[in-house]
Amino acid sequence: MLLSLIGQEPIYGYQLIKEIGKRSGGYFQFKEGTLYTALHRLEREGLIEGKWERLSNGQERRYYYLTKTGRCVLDEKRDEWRGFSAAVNLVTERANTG
Amino acid sequence: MLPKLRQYLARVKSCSRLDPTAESEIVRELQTHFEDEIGELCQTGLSTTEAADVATKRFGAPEALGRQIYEVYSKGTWSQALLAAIPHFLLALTFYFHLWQNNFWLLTTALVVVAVTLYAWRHGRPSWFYSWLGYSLLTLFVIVFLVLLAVGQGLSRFMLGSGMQWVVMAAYVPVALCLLGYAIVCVVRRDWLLASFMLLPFPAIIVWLFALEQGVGLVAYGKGGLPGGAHGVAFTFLALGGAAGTFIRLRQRLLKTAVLAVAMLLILAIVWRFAESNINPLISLFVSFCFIIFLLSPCLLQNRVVHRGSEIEAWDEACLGQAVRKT
Repeated sequence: MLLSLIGQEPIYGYQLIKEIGKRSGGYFQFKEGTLYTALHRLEREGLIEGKWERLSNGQERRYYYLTKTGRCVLDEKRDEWRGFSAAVNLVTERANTG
Repeated sequence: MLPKLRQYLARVKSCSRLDPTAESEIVRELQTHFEDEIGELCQTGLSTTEAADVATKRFGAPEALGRQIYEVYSKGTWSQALLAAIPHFLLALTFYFHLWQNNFWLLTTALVVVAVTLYAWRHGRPSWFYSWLGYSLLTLFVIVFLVLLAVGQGLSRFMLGSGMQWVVMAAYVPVALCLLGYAIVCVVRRDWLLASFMLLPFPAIIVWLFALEQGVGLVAYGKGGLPGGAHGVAFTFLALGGAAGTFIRLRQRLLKTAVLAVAMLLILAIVWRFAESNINPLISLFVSFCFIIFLLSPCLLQNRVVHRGSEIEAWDEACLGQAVRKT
Protein backbone atom coordinates (compact mmCIF):
# COMPACT_ATOMS: atom_id res chain seq x y z
CA MET A 1 0.00 0.00 0.00
CA LEU A 2 2.81 2.39 0.94
CA LEU A 3 4.84 1.46 -2.15
CA SER A 4 1.79 2.02 -4.32
CA LEU A 5 1.15 5.52 -2.95
CA ILE A 6 4.82 6.50 -3.14
CA GLY A 7 4.95 5.09 -6.69
CA GLN A 8 2.19 7.45 -7.83
CA GLU A 9 4.10 10.57 -6.78
CA PRO A 10 6.85 11.55 -4.32
CA ILE A 11 5.25 12.11 -0.95
CA TYR A 12 6.24 12.86 2.67
CA GLY A 13 5.12 11.11 5.87
CA TYR A 14 2.32 13.42 6.98
CA GLN A 15 0.86 13.60 3.46
CA LEU A 16 1.00 9.83 3.26
CA ILE A 17 -1.08 9.41 6.42
CA LYS A 18 -3.65 11.91 5.18
CA GLU A 19 -3.79 10.23 1.77
CA ILE A 20 -4.26 6.73 3.22
CA GLY A 21 -7.04 8.01 5.51
CA LYS A 22 -8.76 9.85 2.64
CA ARG A 23 -8.55 7.05 0.06
CA SER A 24 -9.64 4.31 2.47
CA GLY A 25 -12.51 6.45 3.78
CA GLY A 26 -10.94 6.31 7.26
CA TYR A 27 -10.77 2.48 7.21
CA PHE A 28 -7.02 2.31 7.78
CA GLN A 29 -6.16 3.98 11.06
CA PHE A 30 -2.88 3.19 12.79
CA LYS A 31 -0.46 4.78 15.21
CA GLU A 32 1.35 7.40 13.16
CA GLY A 33 4.72 6.40 14.61
CA THR A 34 4.49 2.98 13.00
CA LEU A 35 4.27 4.60 9.56
CA TYR A 36 7.75 6.06 9.97
CA THR A 37 9.13 2.71 11.12
CA ALA A 38 7.64 1.11 8.01
CA LEU A 39 9.03 3.85 5.76
CA HIS A 40 12.53 3.52 7.22
CA ARG A 41 12.38 -0.29 6.91
CA LEU A 42 11.48 0.06 3.21
CA GLU A 43 14.29 2.56 2.79
CA ARG A 44 16.81 0.20 4.44
CA GLU A 45 15.66 -2.53 2.06
CA GLY A 46 16.37 -0.18 -0.86
CA LEU A 47 12.74 -0.05 -2.06
CA ILE A 48 12.29 3.67 -1.46
CA GLU A 49 14.60 6.63 -1.02
CA GLY A 50 14.07 9.68 1.20
CA LYS A 51 15.25 13.16 0.18
CA TRP A 52 14.88 16.47 2.00
CA GLU A 53 13.15 19.08 -0.16
CA ARG A 54 12.18 22.68 0.46
CA LEU A 55 8.51 23.59 0.16
CA SER A 56 7.33 26.91 -1.29
CA ASN A 57 6.85 28.29 2.26
CA GLY A 58 10.54 27.62 3.05
CA GLN A 59 9.91 24.58 5.27
CA GLU A 60 11.69 21.32 4.55
CA ARG A 61 10.04 17.91 4.29
CA ARG A 62 11.46 14.45 3.65
CA TYR A 63 9.95 13.20 0.40
CA TYR A 64 9.99 9.51 -0.44
CA TYR A 65 10.68 8.22 -3.95
CA LEU A 66 10.27 4.72 -5.30
CA THR A 67 13.55 3.13 -6.44
CA LYS A 68 13.92 0.74 -9.40
CA THR A 69 13.94 -2.24 -7.03
CA GLY A 70 10.89 -0.80 -5.31
CA ARG A 71 9.08 -0.52 -8.66
CA CYS A 72 9.80 -4.22 -9.44
CA VAL A 73 8.62 -5.31 -5.97
CA LEU A 74 5.49 -3.17 -6.34
CA ASP A 75 4.66 -4.81 -9.69
CA GLU A 76 5.14 -8.28 -8.16
CA LYS A 77 2.96 -7.42 -5.16
CA ARG A 78 0.25 -5.97 -7.41
CA ASP A 79 0.15 -9.16 -9.48
CA GLU A 80 0.01 -11.24 -6.29
CA TRP A 81 -2.84 -9.11 -4.96
CA ARG A 82 -4.80 -9.25 -8.23
CA GLY A 83 -4.46 -13.04 -8.33
CA PHE A 84 -5.46 -13.34 -4.67
CA SER A 85 -8.47 -11.00 -4.87
CA ALA A 86 -9.64 -12.63 -8.14
CA ALA A 87 -9.48 -16.06 -6.50
CA VAL A 88 -11.39 -14.80 -3.43
CA ASN A 89 -14.04 -13.25 -5.70
CA LEU A 90 -14.46 -16.50 -7.63
CA VAL A 91 -14.94 -18.49 -4.44
CA THR A 92 -17.35 -16.05 -2.82
CA GLU A 93 -19.38 -15.52 -6.03
CA ARG A 94 -19.89 -19.28 -6.44
CA ALA A 95 -20.87 -19.53 -2.79
CA ASN A 96 -23.44 -16.74 -3.29
CA THR A 97 -24.92 -18.23 -6.46
CA GLY A 98 -24.86 -21.79 -5.09
CA MET B 1 10.05 23.52 20.60
CA LEU B 2 7.15 22.73 22.94
CA PRO B 3 8.28 20.98 26.17
CA LYS B 4 5.86 18.11 25.54
CA LEU B 5 7.34 17.46 22.11
CA ARG B 6 10.90 17.83 23.37
CA GLN B 7 10.22 15.23 26.07
CA TYR B 8 8.57 12.90 23.57
CA LEU B 9 11.44 13.12 21.08
CA ALA B 10 14.03 12.72 23.88
CA ARG B 11 12.36 9.45 24.91
CA VAL B 12 12.26 8.24 21.32
CA LYS B 13 15.98 9.07 21.00
CA SER B 14 16.98 7.27 24.20
CA CYS B 15 15.15 4.09 23.14
CA SER B 16 16.25 4.08 19.50
CA ARG B 17 20.01 4.19 20.37
CA LEU B 18 20.97 5.35 16.89
CA ASP B 19 24.20 6.84 15.63
CA PRO B 20 24.15 10.68 15.67
CA THR B 21 23.57 11.08 11.91
CA ALA B 22 20.57 8.73 11.67
CA GLU B 23 19.21 10.06 14.96
CA SER B 24 19.20 13.71 13.88
CA GLU B 25 17.65 12.73 10.53
CA ILE B 26 14.78 10.81 12.15
CA VAL B 27 14.15 13.37 14.88
CA ARG B 28 14.03 16.12 12.25
CA GLU B 29 11.50 14.13 10.23
CA LEU B 30 9.30 13.46 13.27
CA GLN B 31 9.54 17.13 14.20
CA THR B 32 8.27 18.21 10.76
CA HIS B 33 5.39 15.75 11.15
CA PHE B 34 4.45 17.30 14.49
CA GLU B 35 4.69 20.81 12.98
CA ASP B 36 2.16 19.87 10.29
CA GLU B 37 -0.17 18.04 12.64
CA ILE B 38 -0.13 20.69 15.38
CA GLY B 39 -0.70 23.40 12.76
CA GLU B 40 -3.75 21.53 11.47
CA LEU B 41 -5.11 20.80 14.96
CA CYS B 42 -4.71 24.46 15.96
CA GLN B 43 -6.90 25.43 13.00
CA THR B 44 -9.70 23.34 14.54
CA GLY B 45 -9.58 25.56 17.65
CA LEU B 46 -7.17 23.69 19.94
CA SER B 47 -4.39 25.49 21.80
CA THR B 48 -0.80 24.51 20.90
CA THR B 49 -0.43 22.55 24.17
CA GLU B 50 -3.68 20.63 23.55
CA ALA B 51 -2.66 20.05 19.94
CA ALA B 52 0.74 18.73 21.06
CA ASP B 53 -1.04 16.35 23.48
CA VAL B 54 -3.28 14.99 20.72
CA ALA B 55 -0.41 14.72 18.22
CA THR B 56 1.84 12.77 20.60
CA LYS B 57 -1.05 10.44 21.53
CA ARG B 58 -1.69 9.71 17.86
CA PHE B 59 1.96 8.87 17.43
CA GLY B 60 1.88 6.14 20.08
CA ALA B 61 4.17 5.46 23.06
CA PRO B 62 7.64 6.97 22.51
CA GLU B 63 9.36 3.91 24.02
CA ALA B 64 7.57 1.56 21.60
CA LEU B 65 8.43 3.83 18.66
CA GLY B 66 12.08 4.06 19.79
CA ARG B 67 12.30 0.26 20.07
CA GLN B 68 10.76 -0.18 16.59
CA ILE B 69 13.24 2.29 15.12
CA TYR B 70 16.06 0.43 16.90
CA GLU B 71 14.97 -2.83 15.30
CA VAL B 72 14.94 -1.23 11.85
CA TYR B 73 18.51 0.03 12.20
CA SER B 74 20.09 -2.56 14.52
CA LYS B 75 20.71 -5.19 11.86
CA GLY B 76 23.84 -4.35 9.90
CA THR B 77 24.69 -5.45 6.38
CA TRP B 78 27.21 -8.21 5.58
CA SER B 79 29.84 -5.61 4.71
CA GLN B 80 29.31 -3.91 8.10
CA ALA B 81 29.64 -7.31 9.80
CA LEU B 82 32.92 -7.88 7.95
CA LEU B 83 34.15 -4.42 8.94
CA ALA B 84 33.41 -5.20 12.59
CA ALA B 85 35.29 -8.51 12.35
CA ILE B 86 38.39 -7.15 10.55
CA PRO B 87 40.32 -5.80 13.60
CA HIS B 88 39.89 -9.18 15.34
CA PHE B 89 41.02 -10.99 12.18
CA LEU B 90 44.08 -8.70 11.94
CA LEU B 91 45.13 -9.81 15.40
CA ALA B 92 44.40 -13.45 14.52
CA LEU B 93 46.72 -13.08 11.48
CA THR B 94 49.36 -11.42 13.65
CA PHE B 95 49.54 -14.44 15.93
CA TYR B 96 48.91 -17.19 13.39
CA PHE B 97 51.85 -16.08 11.20
CA HIS B 98 54.02 -15.07 14.17
CA LEU B 99 53.97 -11.44 13.04
CA TRP B 100 53.72 -10.18 16.60
CA GLN B 101 57.53 -9.92 16.69
CA ASN B 102 57.61 -7.93 13.43
CA ASN B 103 57.72 -4.24 14.39
CA PHE B 104 56.79 -3.01 10.91
CA TRP B 105 53.63 -5.16 10.87
CA LEU B 106 52.67 -4.08 14.39
CA LEU B 107 53.18 -0.40 13.62
CA THR B 108 51.22 -0.63 10.34
CA THR B 109 48.37 -2.52 12.01
CA ALA B 110 48.22 0.02 14.85
CA LEU B 111 48.16 2.92 12.38
CA VAL B 112 45.42 1.27 10.29
CA VAL B 113 43.32 0.61 13.41
CA VAL B 114 43.63 4.20 14.64
CA ALA B 115 43.02 5.66 11.15
CA VAL B 116 39.87 3.57 10.58
CA THR B 117 38.61 4.48 14.07
CA LEU B 118 39.08 8.21 13.39
CA TYR B 119 37.44 7.89 9.97
CA ALA B 120 34.40 6.08 11.39
CA TRP B 121 34.23 8.58 14.28
CA ARG B 122 33.92 11.43 11.81
CA HIS B 123 31.41 9.55 9.63
CA GLY B 124 28.50 8.95 11.99
CA ARG B 125 29.95 6.31 14.34
CA PRO B 126 28.21 3.22 12.89
CA SER B 127 27.97 0.07 15.05
CA TRP B 128 31.07 -1.58 13.54
CA PHE B 129 33.13 1.44 14.67
CA TYR B 130 33.00 0.23 18.30
CA SER B 131 34.90 -2.90 17.38
CA TRP B 132 37.76 -0.72 16.09
CA LEU B 133 37.46 1.67 19.02
CA GLY B 134 38.23 -1.18 21.44
CA TYR B 135 41.47 -1.92 19.60
CA SER B 136 42.36 1.78 19.35
CA LEU B 137 42.06 2.02 23.12
CA LEU B 138 44.26 -1.06 23.46
CA THR B 139 46.83 0.55 21.14
CA LEU B 140 46.75 3.69 23.24
CA PHE B 141 47.23 1.68 26.44
CA VAL B 142 50.19 -0.18 24.95
CA ILE B 143 51.81 3.06 23.72
CA VAL B 144 51.36 4.77 27.11
CA PHE B 145 52.70 1.63 28.82
CA LEU B 146 55.82 1.57 26.61
CA VAL B 147 56.43 5.29 27.04
CA LEU B 148 56.10 5.04 30.83
CA LEU B 149 58.33 1.97 30.84
CA ALA B 150 61.00 3.90 28.93
CA VAL B 151 60.63 6.93 31.22
CA GLY B 152 60.83 4.71 34.32
CA GLN B 153 63.92 2.95 33.02
CA GLY B 154 65.55 6.28 32.17
CA LEU B 155 64.84 7.73 35.59
CA SER B 156 66.06 4.64 37.44
CA ARG B 157 69.28 4.47 35.40
CA PHE B 158 70.34 8.11 35.61
CA MET B 159 68.79 9.62 38.68
CA LEU B 160 66.55 7.97 41.19
CA GLY B 161 67.40 4.30 41.62
CA SER B 162 65.63 1.13 40.48
CA GLY B 163 62.46 1.70 42.55
CA MET B 164 61.43 4.63 40.34
CA GLN B 165 60.52 2.30 37.46
CA TRP B 166 57.83 0.63 39.59
CA VAL B 167 56.50 3.96 40.86
CA VAL B 168 55.99 5.16 37.28
CA MET B 169 54.35 1.87 36.32
CA ALA B 170 52.07 2.02 39.38
CA ALA B 171 50.81 5.40 38.15
CA TYR B 172 49.91 3.79 34.82
CA VAL B 173 47.17 1.47 36.12
CA PRO B 174 44.80 4.15 37.54
CA VAL B 175 45.37 6.40 34.51
CA ALA B 176 44.55 3.53 32.13
CA LEU B 177 41.48 2.55 34.17
CA CYS B 178 40.22 6.17 34.23
CA LEU B 179 40.67 6.43 30.47
CA LEU B 180 38.83 3.15 29.91
CA GLY B 181 36.06 4.22 32.30
CA TYR B 182 35.65 7.52 30.47
CA ALA B 183 35.42 5.75 27.10
CA ILE B 184 32.85 3.30 28.49
CA VAL B 185 30.67 6.11 29.89
CA CYS B 186 30.80 7.96 26.55
CA VAL B 187 29.68 4.85 24.64
CA VAL B 188 27.06 3.88 27.25
CA ARG B 189 25.35 7.25 26.64
CA ARG B 190 24.33 5.80 23.28
CA ASP B 191 23.96 2.10 24.09
CA TRP B 192 25.45 -0.12 26.81
CA LEU B 193 25.46 -3.07 24.42
CA LEU B 194 27.89 -1.22 22.15
CA ALA B 195 30.14 -0.55 25.16
CA SER B 196 30.15 -4.31 25.86
CA PHE B 197 30.88 -4.91 22.18
CA MET B 198 33.82 -2.48 22.39
CA LEU B 199 35.20 -4.30 25.46
CA LEU B 200 35.15 -7.71 23.73
CA PRO B 201 38.94 -8.05 23.20
CA PHE B 202 39.88 -6.98 26.76
CA PRO B 203 38.92 -10.20 28.60
CA ALA B 204 40.56 -12.27 25.83
CA ILE B 205 43.85 -10.45 26.24
CA ILE B 206 43.70 -10.53 30.05
CA VAL B 207 42.96 -14.25 30.14
CA TRP B 208 45.78 -15.03 27.69
CA LEU B 209 48.29 -12.94 29.67
CA PHE B 210 47.16 -14.78 32.81
CA ALA B 211 47.41 -18.20 31.14
CA LEU B 212 50.88 -17.50 29.70
CA GLU B 213 52.11 -16.17 33.04
CA GLN B 214 50.81 -19.34 34.70
CA GLY B 215 52.76 -21.42 32.13
CA VAL B 216 56.42 -20.65 31.44
CA GLY B 217 56.01 -16.98 32.37
CA LEU B 218 55.47 -13.89 30.23
CA VAL B 219 59.16 -12.90 30.17
CA ALA B 220 60.16 -16.34 28.85
CA TYR B 221 57.43 -16.13 26.19
CA GLY B 222 58.61 -12.63 25.26
CA LYS B 223 62.12 -13.97 24.61
CA GLY B 224 61.29 -17.33 23.06
CA GLY B 225 57.98 -16.63 21.28
CA LEU B 226 54.75 -18.59 21.63
CA PRO B 227 55.48 -21.99 20.10
CA GLY B 228 52.19 -23.70 20.93
CA GLY B 229 50.13 -20.79 22.27
CA ALA B 230 50.32 -18.60 19.13
CA HIS B 231 47.72 -20.67 17.30
CA GLY B 232 45.52 -20.64 20.38
CA VAL B 233 45.70 -16.83 20.54
CA ALA B 234 44.97 -16.67 16.79
CA PHE B 235 41.91 -18.91 17.19
CA THR B 236 40.72 -16.73 20.08
CA PHE B 237 40.72 -13.62 17.89
CA LEU B 238 39.20 -15.56 15.02
CA ALA B 239 36.35 -16.52 17.36
CA LEU B 240 36.03 -12.88 18.44
CA GLY B 241 35.82 -11.84 14.79
CA GLY B 242 33.03 -14.34 14.21
CA ALA B 243 31.21 -13.09 17.30
CA ALA B 244 31.61 -9.45 16.19
CA GLY B 245 30.19 -10.21 12.74
CA THR B 246 27.26 -12.14 14.20
CA PHE B 247 26.59 -9.32 16.69
CA ILE B 248 26.27 -6.81 13.85
CA ARG B 249 23.98 -9.06 11.78
CA LEU B 250 21.50 -9.73 14.60
CA ARG B 251 18.44 -7.57 15.12
CA GLN B 252 17.25 -8.40 18.66
CA ARG B 253 19.14 -7.09 21.68
CA LEU B 254 18.71 -10.30 23.64
CA LEU B 255 20.43 -12.32 20.91
CA LYS B 256 23.23 -9.75 20.67
CA THR B 257 23.79 -10.06 24.43
CA ALA B 258 23.79 -13.85 24.15
CA VAL B 259 26.45 -13.70 21.41
CA LEU B 260 28.76 -11.71 23.69
CA ALA B 261 28.27 -14.18 26.55
CA VAL B 262 28.86 -17.19 24.28
CA ALA B 263 32.00 -15.51 22.88
CA MET B 264 33.39 -15.31 26.42
CA LEU B 265 32.77 -19.01 27.05
CA LEU B 266 34.35 -19.85 23.69
CA ILE B 267 37.47 -17.83 24.52
CA LEU B 268 37.86 -19.62 27.83
CA ALA B 269 37.45 -22.99 26.09
CA ILE B 270 40.14 -22.08 23.53
CA VAL B 271 42.54 -20.83 26.21
CA TRP B 272 41.93 -23.98 28.27
CA ARG B 273 42.64 -26.14 25.21
CA PHE B 274 45.76 -24.35 23.93
CA ALA B 275 47.47 -22.84 27.00
CA GLU B 276 50.51 -24.74 28.19
CA SER B 277 49.53 -24.36 31.82
CA ASN B 278 47.20 -26.58 33.80
CA ILE B 279 44.29 -24.31 34.61
CA ASN B 280 41.77 -25.72 37.05
CA PRO B 281 38.36 -26.18 35.29
CA LEU B 282 36.58 -24.72 38.31
CA ILE B 283 38.78 -21.62 38.19
CA SER B 284 38.11 -21.40 34.43
CA LEU B 285 34.39 -21.50 35.06
CA PHE B 286 34.67 -18.82 37.74
CA VAL B 287 36.83 -16.64 35.46
CA SER B 288 34.37 -17.02 32.56
CA PHE B 289 31.53 -16.00 34.89
CA CYS B 290 33.53 -12.93 36.02
CA PHE B 291 34.25 -11.96 32.40
CA ILE B 292 30.60 -12.27 31.40
CA ILE B 293 29.73 -9.98 34.33
CA PHE B 294 32.51 -7.58 33.28
CA LEU B 295 31.29 -7.57 29.70
CA LEU B 296 27.69 -6.91 30.68
CA SER B 297 28.55 -4.38 33.42
CA PRO B 298 27.94 -1.34 31.13
CA CYS B 299 24.23 -2.29 31.43
CA LEU B 300 24.28 -1.22 35.11
CA LEU B 301 26.13 1.94 34.18
CA GLN B 302 23.52 2.80 31.56
CA ASN B 303 20.84 3.15 34.23
CA ARG B 304 22.99 5.70 36.06
CA VAL B 305 23.93 7.62 32.92
CA VAL B 306 20.36 7.72 31.60
CA HIS B 307 19.06 8.61 35.05
CA ARG B 308 21.50 11.51 35.22
CA GLY B 309 20.39 12.60 31.77
CA SER B 310 16.72 12.63 32.79
CA GLU B 311 17.62 14.57 35.95
CA ILE B 312 19.21 17.25 33.79
CA GLU B 313 16.12 17.25 31.59
CA ALA B 314 13.85 17.60 34.65
CA TRP B 315 16.00 20.49 35.89
CA ASP B 316 15.81 22.04 32.43
CA GLU B 317 12.00 21.71 32.52
CA ALA B 318 11.85 23.28 36.00
CA CYS B 319 13.95 26.26 34.83
CA LEU B 320 11.67 26.66 31.82
CA GLY B 321 8.61 26.55 34.09
CA GLN B 322 10.06 29.23 36.38
CA ALA B 323 10.89 31.45 33.41
CA VAL B 324 7.31 31.13 32.12
CA ARG B 325 5.87 32.01 35.58
CA LYS B 326 8.14 35.10 35.82
CA THR B 327 7.01 36.41 32.42
